[in-house]
Amino acid sequence: MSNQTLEIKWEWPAGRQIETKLLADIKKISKASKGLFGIGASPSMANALPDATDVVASVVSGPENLVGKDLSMRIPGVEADKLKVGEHAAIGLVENNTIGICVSAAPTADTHALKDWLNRWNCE
Amino acid sequence: MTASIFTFSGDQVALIVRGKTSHSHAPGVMEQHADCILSNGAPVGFFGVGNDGSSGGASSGIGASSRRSANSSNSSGLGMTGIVYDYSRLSRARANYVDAGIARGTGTISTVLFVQVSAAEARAFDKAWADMMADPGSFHILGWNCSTHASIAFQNAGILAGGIPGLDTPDNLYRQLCFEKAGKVSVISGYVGFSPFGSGYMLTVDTP
Repeated sequence: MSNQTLEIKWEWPAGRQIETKLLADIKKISKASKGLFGIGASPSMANALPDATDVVASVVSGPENLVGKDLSMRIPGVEADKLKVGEHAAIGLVENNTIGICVSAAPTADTHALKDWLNRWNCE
Repeated sequence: MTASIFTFSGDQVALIVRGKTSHSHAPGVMEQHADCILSNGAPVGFFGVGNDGSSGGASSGIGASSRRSANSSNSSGLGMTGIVYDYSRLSRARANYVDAGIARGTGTISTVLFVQVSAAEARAFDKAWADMMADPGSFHILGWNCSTHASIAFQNAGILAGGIPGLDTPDNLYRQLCFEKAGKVSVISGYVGFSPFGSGYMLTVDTP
């Protein structure tokens, strides 16, 4: 099991279906750096996001090769607002697990209930 | 909340200034972005990607005589690769620019400046963007940015006679269009969305 951090890029679903579901433990949430003179947050930067927020999490359930790995995602603030450090969240991935298209806070901390919830979860 | 719907039939194009909340609002330089609407209602815009200056070389096509190359390595918004986003790309990378609900949720307010044009101007405007899409070249935050490329489209179409007065910013281009095309422009501000309609797109603007 590797501790290599997965760098996940955020995009909106735009009609795409989730290819991989992860259950992750949220470890850190922080506002993204705006870079020199705020250029990194300029909306003319292709990768800029509204109220960009960095999220670091640890994968606790999902594909075997990803479980135990840390992941980092920069996501819109309105999406990050759904999450809390120390709680679980579902993350939906596409394009060979390189792009995240949705996140949801888990409604429970119970292990068995979490598994059932993740199985039913569909980007909602 | 009031939703206004606009369709396009080849006799108007538009400039969208993202981050501009009203006609009189002057957004900060790093808080604005320019997109355009083609004569069929399709949204389109020019963005910068990457910061290593390794892949955005000079090229041919629209504005080739003045196109600048990306030849410096830096992280200051210079020497980036240009990319043109259409509706499909915007839906994935910048859904808050094409989905009014997501725009509202993220607080993304835009001002849309409609410009009445002739059929020939409309065709030339659309072609200018098609050419930039095929060969976007480089991006520099100062002087070769989203508003510069929107300006090129307006100039190549014959809608504007010259470049943006002062700094190349979306709001300066907006003000130039308002001045030079007085009587042929109209404005609405709000949360902007697009949806396929006929052979193009329909624009929805929800007022805050």
